[in-house]
Amino acid sequence: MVGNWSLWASLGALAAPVLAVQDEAVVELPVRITQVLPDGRFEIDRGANMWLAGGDRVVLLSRDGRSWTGRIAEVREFDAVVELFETGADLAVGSQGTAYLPKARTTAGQPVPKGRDTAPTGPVLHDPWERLDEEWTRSDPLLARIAPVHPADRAVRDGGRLYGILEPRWSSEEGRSETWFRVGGHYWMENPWGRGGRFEVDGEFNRLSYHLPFPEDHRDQNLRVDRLSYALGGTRQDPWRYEVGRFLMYGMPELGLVDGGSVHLRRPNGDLMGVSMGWMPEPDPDQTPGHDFQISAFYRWSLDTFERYTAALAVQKTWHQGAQDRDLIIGRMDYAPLEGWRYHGSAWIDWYGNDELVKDSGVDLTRLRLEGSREWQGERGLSTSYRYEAFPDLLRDEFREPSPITLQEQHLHRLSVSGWKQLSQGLRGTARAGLWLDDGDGGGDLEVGGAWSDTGILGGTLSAALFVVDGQFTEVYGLRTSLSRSQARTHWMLLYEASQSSEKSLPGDGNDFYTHRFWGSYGFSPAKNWNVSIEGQTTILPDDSDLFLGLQCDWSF
Amino acid sequence: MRLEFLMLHAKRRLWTGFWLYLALVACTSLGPGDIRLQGWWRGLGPVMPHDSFPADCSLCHLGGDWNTIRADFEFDHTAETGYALEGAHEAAQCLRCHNDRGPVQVFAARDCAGCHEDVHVGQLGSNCRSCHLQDTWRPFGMREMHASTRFPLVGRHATASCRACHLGAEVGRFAQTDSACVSCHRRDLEATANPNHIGLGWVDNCDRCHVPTTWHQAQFVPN
Repeated sequence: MVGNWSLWASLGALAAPVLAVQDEAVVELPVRITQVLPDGRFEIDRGANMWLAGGDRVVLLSRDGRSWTGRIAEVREFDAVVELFETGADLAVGSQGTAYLPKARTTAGQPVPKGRDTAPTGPVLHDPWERLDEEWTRSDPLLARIAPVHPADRAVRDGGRLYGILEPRWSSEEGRSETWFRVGGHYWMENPWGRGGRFEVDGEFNRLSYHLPFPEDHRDQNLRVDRLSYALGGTRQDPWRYEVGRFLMYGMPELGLVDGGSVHLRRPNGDLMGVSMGWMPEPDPDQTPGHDFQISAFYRWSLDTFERYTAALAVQKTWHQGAQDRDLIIGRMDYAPLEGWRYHGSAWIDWYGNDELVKDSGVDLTRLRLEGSREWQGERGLSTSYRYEAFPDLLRDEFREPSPITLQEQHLHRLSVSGWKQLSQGLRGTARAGLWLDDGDGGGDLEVGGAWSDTGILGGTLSAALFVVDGQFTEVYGLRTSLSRSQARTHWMLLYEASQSSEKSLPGDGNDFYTHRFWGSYGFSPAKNWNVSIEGQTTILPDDSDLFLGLQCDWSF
Repeated sequence: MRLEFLMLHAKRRLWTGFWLYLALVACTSLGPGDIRLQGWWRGLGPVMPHDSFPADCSLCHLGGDWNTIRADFEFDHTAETGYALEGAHEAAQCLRCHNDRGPVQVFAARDCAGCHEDVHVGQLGSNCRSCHLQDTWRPFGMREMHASTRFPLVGRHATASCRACHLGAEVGRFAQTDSACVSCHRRDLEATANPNHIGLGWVDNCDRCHVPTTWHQAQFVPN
C-alpha cells in the first residue's frame, strides 16, 4: 500500500510542475517549512491569506534533492499544516516546497481570513500618503526592502581568539637546544562607543630561551603589539573611513604597518583612495616604534562593479630618525574573472636622489611579482609566476645589513610553473618546475609526484614526489612521501623525506651527505571553538640529529 | 651634471604632479554622485540578502530587534547558497563576512585577501593557499617550499628556525634574505679564534671549507 502511495506521490511530484505550466488553472505557491511538528506533520509559512485551503497538494523538497508530496491538513490565517503521503521524510525547518491551488480561487478576490469581515469601506479619514508603495508583487519576499540598521544603532558585539604555542627543539650536537613559547590573542569589538566604529587589538608575548655551548645561554622575551586601532566608517552608509592607532593600511597593505592615522574614501564608482601619516614600526620581534616616519597615499581603480579587476598606485615617503630615507612607488593589479585565468601583479620601485651613495640616482626596480593561475573545473590546474628581487638602499633596518656590493649587484630572477591533473578517480598527478638567475649564478628545481586518495591505508591520502634542486651552494636529490587524512574534527599527517645533498664548491668525499626527515602532526577539535595541534619532527644528519616538537592550542570566542 | 640636474627637476615635478592629481581626485569625489552603481550603497535591505528566507522571522531572530539571532540558529550554507564553507569558516559568525563593508561577492572576488589582511604586506604574492590551510593559519610545508628557492634547506639549515635567517619572521615578513653566509653567521665569524678567520682574511666563500651539517668541522682544501 505504501508502495502505491509512493508511486503515486512520485508521479504527482514529477507531473506537478508540468501541469502547472500546461494547465493555467493551477497556481504554484512557494512555501517554506517553519516547524516540524511532533506527529510527523509540517507547518508551512503560507495560510488562508494566500488562498490555501484544506486538501491542496503540496510538494516539499528535502536538502538531498528528494521530493515529498502531501496535502494541506489544516489551514490558519498565516500558516498551514501539511500531511505527507509517506513517512520518514528528511525535512527540516527552512526546507522549501510548492503548494498547488486552483487559479479560480485566487481570481475570486482577496482571501477572507476566518473570523474577519470584508474590508471596511467608507471615506478616507487621513491625508493622502506621502510615501508611495515601492513596486511589490506577491511573489516578492517580505523582507527584501527594509531599511538597514546603521552600525551606530547596533548592539555592541565582540569576539576574538587566544592561542598558545610551545616549540622546543633539541640538537644532539653539543647539547644545543632552544625553546620558543608564544601566547597571543586578537580581540575586536564593534560599536564600542556608540558611533558604529570597530576597535581591534592583536598582540603576542614571546619567550625564547637558548642553550648554547658558545657564547652562552641566553633568554629573550618581548611583548609585541601587532594591532591597536579604532576605525570608523568605510561602510555602505559612510564612504569615508578613518582609522587611528597601529594598523595595516586598509586597501593597500603593501604600505605596511603604521602608528598613526589614515583617511579613506570610497568613490561612487567603487574606486578607493587613502592617505596615511605616522611612524612605521621596525620589522623586528618587538616591532620597535618611533624610528621611521612615513606619509603615503594610494588610489585603487575598480574597473567593474564587483571589483574583480582592479589596479592601484601608491606612493610612500619615509624618514629614518629625521633623515630622508625612501621614496617608494608601488603598483598593483588584480584580474580575477569567475572563469579563466586569474592574474596578479605588483611592483615596488624605489626612486633615489643625487645624494644616494650606493645606488645610481633615478628609478630602480626593487621587487616585481607577476602571477597567473587557472583551474579547469576540478580536472586540472596550472600556476605560473615570475619574481624579481633586489635590495633597496635603506637607512631603516629592514634587512640584515646588506653590504654595498650586495646592494649594488645582488638581484634574483625566478620563473616557476606548477600544475596538477586529475589522472583518474582518486589519483592526482602534480609537477613543479622553476628556474632562477642571480647576479652570478643560475639554477633550478623540478618536482614530480602524485597523490592517491583511495589507498585504503587508514583511509588516508598517500602522496609521493621525487625532487631535484640545483641551488646556489647545493645540489639536492630526494624523495618525499606522506600519508594524510582530514576529517571534520581531526586531521593528521605523516611524512618521510630522504635526500642526498652535494656541496658545489667543496670537492672531494666530504661534500655529499644524506638527510632523513620524519615529520608528523595531529590536529583535533576537543570542543566547539577549540583547536589543538601537535607536531613532531626529527632530522637525521650524518653525525648528529635534531628533534623538534610543537604544541598549539587556540580558542575562538 | 646636466643629466642629474634634469633628473632632480623631473622627480620634483612628478611628485608635485602626483599630489596634485590626488587632490583633484579627492575634490571631485566629494559630490553626492550616483552611488547606486554599487548596489550596497542604496541604503536598503539587511546586510545579507533575505530574498529566499522564510516569512517567519522568529525562525532566526529573537526578541524585538533584528540584531539578536536565536541561540539554536543553524544555516546550511552549502545547501542554501551553493557555496561551501570549509575549515574555520564553517564556524565563523555570519557578520564576519556579510557586513556593512559591502556585498560579500566583492570580497570573495579578491579571494582570501578580500577579508584577511595581508600581514606579509604583499611580499609573498596572492596565493595564500600555498602555505596556509583553512583549518588554521599556522603555515605548513615551509621546508618543502624552500626547495623552490636557490637556497634549499639542507643539513643544519633544515633544522633552524625561520627567524634565524628571516628578520621579521615573527611578524610574517619573509622578504629577500642575503644568501651570503656572513649575513647570518657574522657573529660566528667574528668569534672564531682558532684559526682567526678575520685575521687570515677568510671572510667570504665559507662553502669552500664548510658543509652545513655541523657548526665546527671544516674540510681544508689546499689551493
